[in-house]
Amino acid sequence: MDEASLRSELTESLDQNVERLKSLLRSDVNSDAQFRRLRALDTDLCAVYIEGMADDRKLSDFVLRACEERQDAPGGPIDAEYLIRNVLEIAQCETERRVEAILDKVVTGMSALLIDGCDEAVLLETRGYPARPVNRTTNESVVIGAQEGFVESLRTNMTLLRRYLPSYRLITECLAVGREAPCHVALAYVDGVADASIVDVARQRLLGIDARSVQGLGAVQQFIEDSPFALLPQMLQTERPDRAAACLMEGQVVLLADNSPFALVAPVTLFHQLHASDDSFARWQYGSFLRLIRVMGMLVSVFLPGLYIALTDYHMHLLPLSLLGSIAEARANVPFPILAEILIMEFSFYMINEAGTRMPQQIGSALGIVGALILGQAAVSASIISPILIIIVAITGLGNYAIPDYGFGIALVICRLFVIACGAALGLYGVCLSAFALLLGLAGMRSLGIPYLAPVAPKQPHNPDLLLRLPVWLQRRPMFFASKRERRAAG
Amino acid sequence: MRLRIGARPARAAALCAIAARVFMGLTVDMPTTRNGAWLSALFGALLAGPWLAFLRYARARGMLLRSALLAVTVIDAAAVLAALARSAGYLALDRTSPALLAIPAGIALLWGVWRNGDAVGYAAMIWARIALALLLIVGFLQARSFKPAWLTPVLGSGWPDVLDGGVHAAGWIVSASGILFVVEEDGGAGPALGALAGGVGVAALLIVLAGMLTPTRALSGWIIRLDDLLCNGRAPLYLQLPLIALWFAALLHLLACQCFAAAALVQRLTGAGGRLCGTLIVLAALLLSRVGVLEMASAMLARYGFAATAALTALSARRKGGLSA
Repeated sequence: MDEASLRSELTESLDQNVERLKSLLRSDVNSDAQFRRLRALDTDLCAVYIEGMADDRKLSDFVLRACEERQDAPGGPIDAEYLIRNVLEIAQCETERRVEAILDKVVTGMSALLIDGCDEAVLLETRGYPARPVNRTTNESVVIGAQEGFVESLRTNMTLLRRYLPSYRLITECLAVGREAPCHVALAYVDGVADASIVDVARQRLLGIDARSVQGLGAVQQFIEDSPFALLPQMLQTERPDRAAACLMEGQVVLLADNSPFALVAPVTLFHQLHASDDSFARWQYGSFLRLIRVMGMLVSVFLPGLYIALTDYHMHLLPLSLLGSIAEARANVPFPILAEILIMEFSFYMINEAGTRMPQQIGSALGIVGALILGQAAVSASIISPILIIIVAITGLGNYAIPDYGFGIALVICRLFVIACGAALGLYGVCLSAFALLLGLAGMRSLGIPYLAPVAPKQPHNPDLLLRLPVWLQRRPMFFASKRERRAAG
Repeated sequence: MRLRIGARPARAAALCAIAARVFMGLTVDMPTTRNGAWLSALFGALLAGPWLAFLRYARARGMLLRSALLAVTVIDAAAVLAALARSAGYLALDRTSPALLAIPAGIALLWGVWRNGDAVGYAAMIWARIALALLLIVGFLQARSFKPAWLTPVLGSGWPDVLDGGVHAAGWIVSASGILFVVEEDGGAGPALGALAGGVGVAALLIVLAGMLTPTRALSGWIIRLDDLLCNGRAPLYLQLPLIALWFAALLHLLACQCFAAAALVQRLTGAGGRLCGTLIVLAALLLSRVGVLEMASAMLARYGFAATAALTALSARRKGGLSA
């Protein structure tokens, strides 16, 4: 690619401009790069667009036809400003003379109208590529509450956000991230509610991303998170606009990006990862109860297999005699040590889980039955696995599924393996050591500079909406990371 | 990396560390005070209170004081590490060498110091809540086993032993509260005294509860006393589970607090990198924990450590003009 042409600006010669853009867009081989020439208002014009990305109908009805039908040409040569003010019937137009900026817009679906005798092009908002309509959420389903989910189009997602949060204080800053194939990211926050320093940190980290291309929000998250080597996610992924809007009102910032059907929310704490979208729809008693179930699920998911192996391998005396008898009886014919047994079951479970996720939906459900019934039953009959262990692994898996956030759930699985290894090596001492190490890891984590265990450690004034939820009319405070003005207003 | 900790996390860490160290000291390390152990804890707090209140005047200077505090903290950390390894060996891993058992704890402590002071302090804040929940479970499960009559005679072996226990408790308070010395912001004497009052209060309460579960056997060995503590012989064995978790976790948090304080003191003294200081301290604690005379050295430090550090603190504060200020 000719870097000099790319960095140059348009000239007054239409032919020269068209040739330059054709060369940069490789129109000789790029069949979807379109250059539509026309003569109107006694001037030669050329519309440049990408077929499929730009809406043909918008272009022909409101640009080309508008130009052709206009008869009253001004006396002198026409320029971009004249076209915008008098001719074009498209609401969003802007002028641009830098070739690189024009190309950047054209590849996103906008059209450029080049004018003979004018060194500026008109960029027209003609984006109209096919996109999935707003639909039900797939991974973050709720029993009650709104059912709409984000889609792949940034514009639609921003509209959804505005619909759920109709406030003039909602700001959505659009930033391009990545050098060669920029990803358009919207940084959304509520002005005056989000702390300016947190917004600044998020903005600076986004602008500081130095990568050739950034593939969606997943990559953005990895570039801007505080501790890239930490196991647990430091941002919340949500595919629900209502949840994103609620987070914005608590003082968090929300990131949206093109081609990412979810939003990233930051800063978040450990407690946010245990909240589900319909908590706030349910009455406070139900919401609190469900959150306690999730906390139990998290603890069971991380510690149960490790505790089982520690108790059965090292501390048999701590088990009630009847339970010890049952375990011994069930394991009598199993040829493997407990660690091997647990690892076989755990990895079988992960494989069934992963295969079920990747398979087509119709086969996936059948796989669940095969995994749960046939494999489990066969393993017990063949004395490879003891029935008690199947119960342990099943409860552990259920605990993991109670976690609303997908990434957080995977992190817990890895933590579980660590606890299993420590429990197998050192018994309860190992389990305590692993819990201590995990706690230290959590205590050292931050999300956009906010401690991950806040507002418990460090203690901060907060709403009664952390693990237990009290009635909404008692929740008068914004989150502790909201702007000082907002916190003062709440008293 | 500069090893630093804020005033609030330091206070939480110190509270947990003081509670664990005083409780461990008066129930397992030195049970001669018998029923009067809780009075010894309170007396220790009375002795150490003025020292902690004046400690901040000596914070900026006092090489000698820093060195003394460093020595006390490292030796006591080694003693606690040895106790942790012994506990693990006694509970299930008696075929494994205590030296090997101390290594995983050393790795976890290294991880803690490398995460820096706020992580240690925040972890202590969470631990305090978990410990409370575990204690409630223990209290509920063992409710029928408590015998208040076993708390009499209140003075245990008598006043001299109670006072001697108090002096030791003050020594353990000194070795557990080094983290308050490395706080960079000066929040006054209040937070330090709050940590002391909270830590000793919790320790005294736990000593009373433990005393109601099992009469102290002062003449038995360390392991027997640990066994008495974890299982009173009347409750079902499986009720030991939360007690074991409490014991291990409390010692680990105490160690994290001591190792961080010692590493930060080394950094203040030498200006070396935080990770290097942390590694050196943990290695030193691991090595010292294998020294045969450690118990004796630790007991001597507990007896005289408080007096020595208090004298050095007064000297440092006077040189700085802090006392007159």
